Amino acid sequence: MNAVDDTHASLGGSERTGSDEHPTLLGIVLDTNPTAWAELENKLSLKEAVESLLIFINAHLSLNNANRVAVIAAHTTGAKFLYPKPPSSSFENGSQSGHTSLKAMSGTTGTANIFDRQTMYRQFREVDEAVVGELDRLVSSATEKSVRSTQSAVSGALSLALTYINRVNSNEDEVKTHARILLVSVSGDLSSQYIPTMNCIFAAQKKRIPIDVCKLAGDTVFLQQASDSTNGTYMKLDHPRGLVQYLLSAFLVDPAILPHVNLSTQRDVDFRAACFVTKTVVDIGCVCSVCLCIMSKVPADGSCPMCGTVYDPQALQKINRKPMVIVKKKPKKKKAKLDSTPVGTPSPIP
Amino acid sequence: MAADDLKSSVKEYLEGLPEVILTRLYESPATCLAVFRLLPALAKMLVMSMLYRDESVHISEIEKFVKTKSRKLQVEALQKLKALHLITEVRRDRSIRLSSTFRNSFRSALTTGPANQSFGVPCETDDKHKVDIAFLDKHASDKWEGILHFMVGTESTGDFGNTAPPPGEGVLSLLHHSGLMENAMGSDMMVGRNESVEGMRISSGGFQFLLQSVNAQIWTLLLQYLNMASNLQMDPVDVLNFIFMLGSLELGKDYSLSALSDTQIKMLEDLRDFGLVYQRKSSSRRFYPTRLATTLTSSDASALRSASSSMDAAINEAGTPPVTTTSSSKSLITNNPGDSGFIILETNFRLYAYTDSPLQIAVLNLFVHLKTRFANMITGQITRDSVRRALINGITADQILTYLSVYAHPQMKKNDPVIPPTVMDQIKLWQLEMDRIRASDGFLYTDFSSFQEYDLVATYAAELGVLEWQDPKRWRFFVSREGNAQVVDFVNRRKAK
Repeated sequence: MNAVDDTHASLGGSERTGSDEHPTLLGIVLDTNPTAWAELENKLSLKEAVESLLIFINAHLSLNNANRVAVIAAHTTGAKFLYPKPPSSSFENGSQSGHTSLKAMSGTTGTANIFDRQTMYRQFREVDEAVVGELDRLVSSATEKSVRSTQSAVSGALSLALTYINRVNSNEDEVKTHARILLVSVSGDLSSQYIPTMNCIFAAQKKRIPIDVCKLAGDTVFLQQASDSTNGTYMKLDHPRGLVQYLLSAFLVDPAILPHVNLSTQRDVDFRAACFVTKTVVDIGCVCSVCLCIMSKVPADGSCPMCGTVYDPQALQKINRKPMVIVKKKPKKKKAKLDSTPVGTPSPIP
Repeated sequence: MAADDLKSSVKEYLEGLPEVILTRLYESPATCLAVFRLLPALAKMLVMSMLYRDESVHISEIEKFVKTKSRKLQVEALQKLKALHLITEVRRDRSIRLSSTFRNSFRSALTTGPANQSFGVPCETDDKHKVDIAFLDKHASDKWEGILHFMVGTESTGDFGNTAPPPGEGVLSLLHHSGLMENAMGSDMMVGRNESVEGMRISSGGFQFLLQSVNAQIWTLLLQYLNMASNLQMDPVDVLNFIFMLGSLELGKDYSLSALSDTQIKMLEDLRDFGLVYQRKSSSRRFYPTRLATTLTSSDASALRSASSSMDAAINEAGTPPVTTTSSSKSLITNNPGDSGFIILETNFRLYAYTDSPLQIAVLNLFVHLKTRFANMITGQITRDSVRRALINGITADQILTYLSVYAHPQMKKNDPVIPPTVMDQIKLWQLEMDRIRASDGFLYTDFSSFQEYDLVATYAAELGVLEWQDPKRWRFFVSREGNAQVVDFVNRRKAK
């Protein structure tokens, strides 16, 4: 009986190693915060970044014929699908105008024939045209108000990517598709989106979707945690101009060879959390014992801002107690007291 | 598995080409893309990371990147790259650099640099006789199944006047040359006019051919075509470029002949006979690639579906009318796995197949002992004898199992694993019965001075994955031919120290 089991194991084993290449679905979240890109302009313009990103997308598509991408823009006004294009938009004219005005926006001449549609592989062309077309529409629709706000909807875009991946994976029943997310981030603090971002991270963790973060500028605490807890790669680029090379070498790792390579990622991760009330990063804070909400300071009414639990006033008093400065006198007194008491075994009383 | 075989056969062909021809091949971006997809995953990574680096890469950098326990993969990847002349090695300082031709073409494939026509030139004008995708699918499946029917010797008469005429002369001589069919008279002299339809019979290689996936079948024929082409003074570079270009075309679009060379226009005629392209008349200035052509460079069978997005695919599939001629005779090219399954296999080795297609029955007959035939189904049993017969014909257990699982009935597909484990193991065991001895070329290492020395070299060989056999008691081991040079290198390096 054992012998039979043995052959089964060996036969089964050979079966599994046969197909090691699964198609990958790559969700790309591009931070399109106008303010942040404007600051970055002299190092790397948005146009150059998009060019690099398109090369990266094409490279990803060329790894495997069945590979797919979804590109989502995290704009200040909200998250928006760039590819696959939303069903409602009429995309043809968008791409036409998009081409010219994106160039006009950056004001450089450069490679004029990015979208010479005749000579491009159809898979690439589809994606590239859609991305540029939609992106241009997004940029040209900018209003005074949207430019003002500084925070981009990164968490919204992340959740869009996750839901899209989930939908594709649940549709696909016969082919196993790997999925991962690449976040190209330029803007700084995200602390106001702490809760939704963390929720996304947990969802990704549960679904085993790695989140890779390519940080061009600024610094965000949570994104480090995002890639750390999902086994992704976090990289802050020292030379944003070499974006293509960074993308192609560090962020294009096929899941099939993941166990065989050493990834370049940041080792030390900032694990700090943000206060739910003031939306600032806290070093030391309080945690609600019921809903685990984090606050830098307990609100004046003595109840949890999230779940409304009323805290024990006595406990609150303890927490809110001002740190006491130890009066000099006290130790002296103590010392004196100590001195007065005899040291050693007291002599037996007769 | 079938896809892997296919990949390696294409790769082998390419590796056999001299560097000059390969370099000329790499001038076409479409070819570069197709060749790139044939590479192992790690090699793809390495190529990508070298693509935008101008200086050469030192081996030690790659060694840092790859984990120590995966050295074998690294060696394999570098070997493949070298064999395809994609990288050149600078011996002096142990660094490698990407072939500049390949680098330029591949870059322009990714970025559309200078205008090139390797991805096909679409027609500017509208076709008066425009055809839709359903028509192309039907055209392709008619042509291709015509060839397969011809091979198994069934006149595909019957359903809805689907009488396929015997395939064209080009196809016949190709089948003959590839050894898939042979002359019943057994004389090899009769090439050319004498290849009458009646005189040909399927060979054991042909049986094996029938079990492959459609994609693999096409590649087998195309590779044979390449071999023939060089005899006919056709430029292999032209032929290969055209094949790879077909793989990158868009289904349902018409393309102009203007960018094709004379060789390629000549080829088009033959490809039309295979059902890879559609041309209304041979004098027509435009052609349509069919699904058979556009999925050529898809690496796996699943990619027969449109790869852009599953949503799109789902919509398209719902939208296009079924291309099969009748509901029961299964088209081989249907890309919806749902309606291609017709086989039910039980744990007691009994097999029921809901089909009346002579082609499918003939294929099943290769490895199943068929018992009864009904109007719309046949029953049979898989026996040791029937499987052995197939194995002797050169069909492998894996091919049988793949065939069974690909064409499994939807009801059976719900099982996990699809094929009952008892049957699967038994078929594999029957195969193991056949090959008890494995011969491999290589070198025997003996006469070590100490066990430490033996152990050191043997471990190194094992790490590289070139160790075929070892006998620690007598300090001997055997290394495959390919790996020998590296082991010798290693020993010499140790000695130098």
